Amino acid sequence: MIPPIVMDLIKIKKLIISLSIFLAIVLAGLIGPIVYPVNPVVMTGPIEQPPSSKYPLGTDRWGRDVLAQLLHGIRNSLSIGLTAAAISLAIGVTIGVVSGFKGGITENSLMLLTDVVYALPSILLMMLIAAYLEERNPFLVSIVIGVTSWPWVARAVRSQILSLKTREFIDMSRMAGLGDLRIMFEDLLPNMASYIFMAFVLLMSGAMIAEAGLSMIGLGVTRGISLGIILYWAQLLEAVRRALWWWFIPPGVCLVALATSLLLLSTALDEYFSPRLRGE
Amino acid sequence: MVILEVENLTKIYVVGLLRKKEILAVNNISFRVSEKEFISLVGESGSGKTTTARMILRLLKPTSGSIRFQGRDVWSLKKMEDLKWYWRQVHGIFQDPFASYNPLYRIDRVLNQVFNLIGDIGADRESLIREALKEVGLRPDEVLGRYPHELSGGQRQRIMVARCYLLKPRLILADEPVSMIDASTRAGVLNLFSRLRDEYGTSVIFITHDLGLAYYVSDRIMIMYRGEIVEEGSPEEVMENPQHPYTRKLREDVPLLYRKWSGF
Repeated sequence: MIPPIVMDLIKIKKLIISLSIFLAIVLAGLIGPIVYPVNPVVMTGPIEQPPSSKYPLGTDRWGRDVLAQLLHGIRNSLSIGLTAAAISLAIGVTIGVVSGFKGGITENSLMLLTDVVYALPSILLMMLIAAYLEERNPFLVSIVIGVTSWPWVARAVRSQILSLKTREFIDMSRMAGLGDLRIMFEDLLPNMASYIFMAFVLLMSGAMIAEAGLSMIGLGVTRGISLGIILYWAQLLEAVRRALWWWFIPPGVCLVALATSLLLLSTALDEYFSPRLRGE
Repeated sequence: MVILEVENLTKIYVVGLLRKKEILAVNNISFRVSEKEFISLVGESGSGKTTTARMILRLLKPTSGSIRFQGRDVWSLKKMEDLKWYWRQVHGIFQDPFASYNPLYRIDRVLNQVFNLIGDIGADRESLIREALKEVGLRPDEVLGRYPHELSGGQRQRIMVARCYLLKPRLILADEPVSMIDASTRAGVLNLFSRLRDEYGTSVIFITHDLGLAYYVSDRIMIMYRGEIVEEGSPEEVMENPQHPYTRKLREDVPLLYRKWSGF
């Protein structure tokens, strides 16, 4: 027996498409390294080989297998994206809900903090950290991206709370003798669930792009591999000018496909969560 | 017997953080509501009618003044059981039937919520709900199980009235409850209020901007203008001998059935 919610979700084509692209890449990142057990950071063949049966996606300047790099890179980029999104979602939702509910001086000071962080680019923070730390692991990169990318979430959640708080259905529930907690969980949060989930999805795609951005200017992780790091080396060794397409196209396509499928997923979920958009 | 006493009720909204600006929404109003009384609160948009209703419904804290229901100060009720008692006795219908429903739930929810106040009454809830819907002129099978966006404004307003009918409170604050119901069913819904009054002794505070409608249905009319009650009296007094210039202006705006528009 399939629950009706699954049936409703299956009907949304956008959701199916975006979810399959996303899951396919995720699976590649999770299972790929096991199925294709080639070490991505040691020399395993001749340098700059085009794709062949032995090296499905060729090799780079140091004779490293590009497919192995790609599979490990997806895995690391996803974990950085997840961690960073979780950190910024936690900060953003907490600040948004507290400032929306409390109002007054609490709201004003929290929003001031939000504006300050808004103006602080993650690149600047990363450059400062890079100046002090020679070794940067993926977790550090996630934290830097996480603590700099939450302000829009805080603002969105706060404005949602502010507008929902004054809606009359909240008063109807209040008059029916529902307490604050029940109103919070029955009326407010379900109305924001789509927002929060979409924020998470967008944060995740943003964090993966941000990781690639930081890596490409040499401020990313120093150990291991990520999609951004592959692109960094490809760019540094002029892979584009030298037409070494197997080096930069696969990671680029993966990154774009990940980010786009997540964006599409967020719009599909928006349709699911607000029945009016479904066009029924 | 007086059931509701409102004394020197005032609401001031303060806007702005550094440069504070005060907006006087309701200015020092006092009135009493007796059992079985049908009072109309008439005024233009922004005159403070809805603010007054929200304060009486204990949803908006007054700046000063007191509201007493059956001798108990409404704003000193703090415990949930006291509040449930209060909302069991005093209930409201809001102006905007679109905002009165949580869009994520089927409309059954607002009707089922009533049982949270009444408690277990032993009767079949489903049939009580169906009966209440029929009373407001809706076919239960057409509306039950549907989402708010699938219903018209008039249907939603009638479901709100059905909620009050299920609850049978002592006092109903109805904020423009029939504005989107078409004229043919409007009378039926209004009759429901008077039936509640006759059968259960319910009092009604009817909020409207339509003086003509207020004249038809009420025992007493209060005219609100810029946060104050400027005139109060029986419908005949207010219509035939208005004292305040605003009431005179309102009366002139009531369309007459037999007089044709004679151009501008």
